[in-house]
Amino acid sequence: MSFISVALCKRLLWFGVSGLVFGFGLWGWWTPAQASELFNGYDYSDASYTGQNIFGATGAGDYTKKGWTWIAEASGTVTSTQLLFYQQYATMAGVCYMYVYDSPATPTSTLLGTATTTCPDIGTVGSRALVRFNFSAENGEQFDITAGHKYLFYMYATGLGASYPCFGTYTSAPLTPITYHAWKQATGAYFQGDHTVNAPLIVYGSDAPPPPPDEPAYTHFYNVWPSDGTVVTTTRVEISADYYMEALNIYDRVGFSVQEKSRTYQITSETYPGLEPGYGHVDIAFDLTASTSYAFWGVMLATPTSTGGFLDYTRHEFSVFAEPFPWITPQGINDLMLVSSTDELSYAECSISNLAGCFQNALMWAFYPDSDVWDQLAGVGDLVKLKPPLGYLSALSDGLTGMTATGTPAFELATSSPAMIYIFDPMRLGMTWVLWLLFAGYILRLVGGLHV
Amino acid sequence: MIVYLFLQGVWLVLLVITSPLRLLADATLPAGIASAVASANPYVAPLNVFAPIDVLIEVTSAVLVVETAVLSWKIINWVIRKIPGLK
Repeated sequence: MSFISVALCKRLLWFGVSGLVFGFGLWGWWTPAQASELFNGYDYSDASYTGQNIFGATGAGDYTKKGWTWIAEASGTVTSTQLLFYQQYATMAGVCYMYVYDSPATPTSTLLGTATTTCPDIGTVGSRALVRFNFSAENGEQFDITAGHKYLFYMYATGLGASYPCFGTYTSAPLTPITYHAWKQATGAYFQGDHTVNAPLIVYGSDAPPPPPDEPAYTHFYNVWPSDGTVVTTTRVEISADYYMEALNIYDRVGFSVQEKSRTYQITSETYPGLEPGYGHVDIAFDLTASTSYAFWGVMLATPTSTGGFLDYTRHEFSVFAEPFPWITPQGINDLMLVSSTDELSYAECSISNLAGCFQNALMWAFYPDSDVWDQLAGVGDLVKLKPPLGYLSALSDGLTGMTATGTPAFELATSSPAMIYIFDPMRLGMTWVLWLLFAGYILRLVGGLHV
Repeated sequence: MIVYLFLQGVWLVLLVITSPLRLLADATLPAGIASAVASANPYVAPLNVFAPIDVLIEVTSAVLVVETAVLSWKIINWVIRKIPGLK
């Protein structure tokens, strides 16, 4: 009996280890193929990007309900019937829920799927703070779509004591074709087209003059530069726009407002150039503060009466992000997509014309474990890290984080940057290694002396 | 499936090994020690820039924890051996 058990254990061990090696090989061989297919047609080394925000915000003037959706797809244009949502930002904390609805007519009828994730701990942020969400594939962010339908994308968060919608957006046009959005890491400002409020059609980046006015107080921005999708690689932003204004009286004005994206809007710059009826041109230049998000408005106000009330106005809004998006490097995009779309191997078609698929499926069944098992093993430390005696160590370690965190020290020691870089930092790193190696030696000696 | 079963087996073994610990309540530092650590942090933080004081404390604490665990194990064994009829 004992012999059988030992033999069985040895065989299981052999199969398990062999399978691990083989499974990793299979994963490494398969994933790049899928990745190359996914990224085919997009050059991540390109300094510019193509794309547009396909979701217009529905919460006009309500910034808690707006957001952007990046949609990734193989060729840059959604020609297949799947959408891959992999990034969002919003003001939220706690548990985030994502809903996608489908309807050929109104975007509220059929629930395609939901996904939940743990929102990043973002603390108190402005309503335009950029927050990364990554809904992984197993949580169902990949949805089949139908050409010509409209889709509602909806997120909300719980965990702050109340549930509230972060934003609800829907496509304003049929989804084919759709270009995805890809950000490049660079220092500077990123312009993202947003939406218009109570305004006629805005023409981005077009040299064409606006169409003839057909409204009583017709105001119109056109040929705005930087236009939608422009990346400015400096922090000095110059914006100009052509406009058309039909009416002119004492209250007419045209100009730009630049506001920091915080809960309390602060106008930091606004100009009112002299106005002439008809076509005109306006410029503004301003400096961005690093790691701050801005919105930019081209504002046109007009009133056909002298009552002082603004009877009509046009506000063209798009955002100027001064954040460099450090997490969306070209490699980061790859990582995000890999995590969200190709982390799981999919079974191939098994048929008489594709026997290789059957072979692949058999190998996967035998040697490719479910990702839940890895998650299970990765969390084994959590089982005991709070239990004595390790729990005391964890608590002490948590307490010591105040030593290296942002707490205010009781006193300051004079340091110089070169001395820190060339002397103290390497010395500190070396001492850290020595201490942990000593501890490892102590544990090895202890374990070696055990007689179980 | 083979790898899956193997990993599940490893998981079960780990569950069995850690089961005595998991039965215990979560450990928390005595209030005095936690308070002392919090009070000392601002004073030690400037020195921590030059030398890894936090690592030193963590390693020392880890050694203490291990030594305490070994000592506890020896005491338990010693008590067990004192029970008449047991070897």
